[in-house]
Amino acid sequence: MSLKKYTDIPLNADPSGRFVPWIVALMVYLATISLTVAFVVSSLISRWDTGFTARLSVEIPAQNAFDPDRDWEMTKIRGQVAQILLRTPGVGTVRTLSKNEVLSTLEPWLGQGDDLSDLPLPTLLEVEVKDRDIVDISLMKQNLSEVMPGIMVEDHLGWQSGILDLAHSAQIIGFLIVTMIILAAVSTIAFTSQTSLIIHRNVIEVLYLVGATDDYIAKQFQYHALRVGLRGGTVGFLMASVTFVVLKFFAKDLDTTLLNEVISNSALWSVALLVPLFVTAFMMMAARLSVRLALKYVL
Amino acid sequence: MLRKEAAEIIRFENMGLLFENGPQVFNKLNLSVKEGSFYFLTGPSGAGKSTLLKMIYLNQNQTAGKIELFGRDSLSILHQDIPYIRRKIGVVFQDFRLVSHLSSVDNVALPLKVRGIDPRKARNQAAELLKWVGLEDVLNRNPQTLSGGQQQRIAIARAVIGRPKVLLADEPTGNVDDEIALKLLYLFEEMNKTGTTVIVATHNRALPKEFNHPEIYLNEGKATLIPVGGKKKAE
Repeated sequence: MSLKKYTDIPLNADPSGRFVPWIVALMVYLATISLTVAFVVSSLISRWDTGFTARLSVEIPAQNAFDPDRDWEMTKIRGQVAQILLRTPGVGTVRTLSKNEVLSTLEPWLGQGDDLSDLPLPTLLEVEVKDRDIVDISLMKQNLSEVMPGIMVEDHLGWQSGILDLAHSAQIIGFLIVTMIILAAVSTIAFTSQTSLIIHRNVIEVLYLVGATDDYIAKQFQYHALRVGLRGGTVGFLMASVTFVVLKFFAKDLDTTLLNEVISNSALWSVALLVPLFVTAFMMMAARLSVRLALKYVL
Repeated sequence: MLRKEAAEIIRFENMGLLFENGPQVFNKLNLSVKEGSFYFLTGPSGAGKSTLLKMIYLNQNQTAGKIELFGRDSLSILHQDIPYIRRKIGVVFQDFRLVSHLSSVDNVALPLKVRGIDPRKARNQAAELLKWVGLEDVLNRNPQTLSGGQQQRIAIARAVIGRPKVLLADEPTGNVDDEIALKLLYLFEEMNKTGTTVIVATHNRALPKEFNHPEIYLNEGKATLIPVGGKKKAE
């Protein structure tokens, strides 16, 4: 297909359309970055969905060290707590974390060292929830406090679902931004096409008089949109690629594996390549339809 | 041997044209143009010669009466069918209406391109035609760099390249010297001999006699047919 065939109207020379490829480039760039953010959020969501299974943590406060009576009492309390937890409807399994596991959770704050083993440590129990809907956390807390005051129940599910909702919202906002960017590109080309119709009215009249159909004239605008879209889209894609490369460079230094993984993901690059093509396709349709409508009802 | 009666290609029946807040250009105008005929359309300035041609190439609707083109009522022709009717009509405009950003050869190739003919083939045909009208040296030059006469020949080449059934020329001799004017009219006669119906609008009333063709004389909204060597014939 030769695009030269559709250059009877000098649309390239329009002052109104001179900046359109740059506007398209910027829009393609923004759409690609928005999609990348949506990709990152999507990856986070899938990690959280699989990583955070429905779990609760129960913490029995630390007791004084070197007290054999207290040790025996703690074992008894642990047993009672575990029984209460297992009797609670909706709870699956209960596991007591080893001393080393508890120490590893403290390492980020206290660092490594032999001295830590001498500290009075709380007892942590990991509770796997089978059915979140029927677990009554407040009743569980009440029953546990009767065994020993100060036992704490950490419910991950509450804030986890909040964060997931936030992440889903961010994803939806990302896609809405992409849609709006495409709409903006489409509107830009529709309005510039209308302006060009007025500017080139004389040439269009000549085309009509030598027997051109509305479709032939609309195709001139459609293929102009193709040229503009491809030109702007290529620049936008290159700008996004440069951004990815720079981000990847910094992500390596910051050890943010998620960003690194997303940027190395071939699916992201395929989508990034599709963005300019989609924008161009929408621009072509917008140019064609707006010109055809104008030719039928206005000119 | 009986000669077959030529078919009527254009017919105006009680046609009227009244511009809004303007003059009554035509009033109950009747006219019949047969296929393969050659007419000079004459009349004083403002009589409506260009307007009548515009009505034939479907660029102006009448406000009363009926116009038939190729057997079809002009008002019943759908918007999407107009281009196909126009492809049967070649027009040489008084102001040439050449597309300034296109070369001479591309201007002439336009009617073929809009028909979907391959642009390379269209350009080749256009180049051949331009050679025939003596413009082989200016094929790739833009029209505004050419003289009035050269532009006119490009306009004529563009009008005839699609082998139209009807050729309309609006004051084709107005911007050229006598020698070129004569050449152009001989060219139209040659086309007429191949079966093309020709209507030449001119203010020069001597031409019909010189070329021995009938005259349609427009005046005060009416058309009067003056046959070859004859007297005015009432509508």
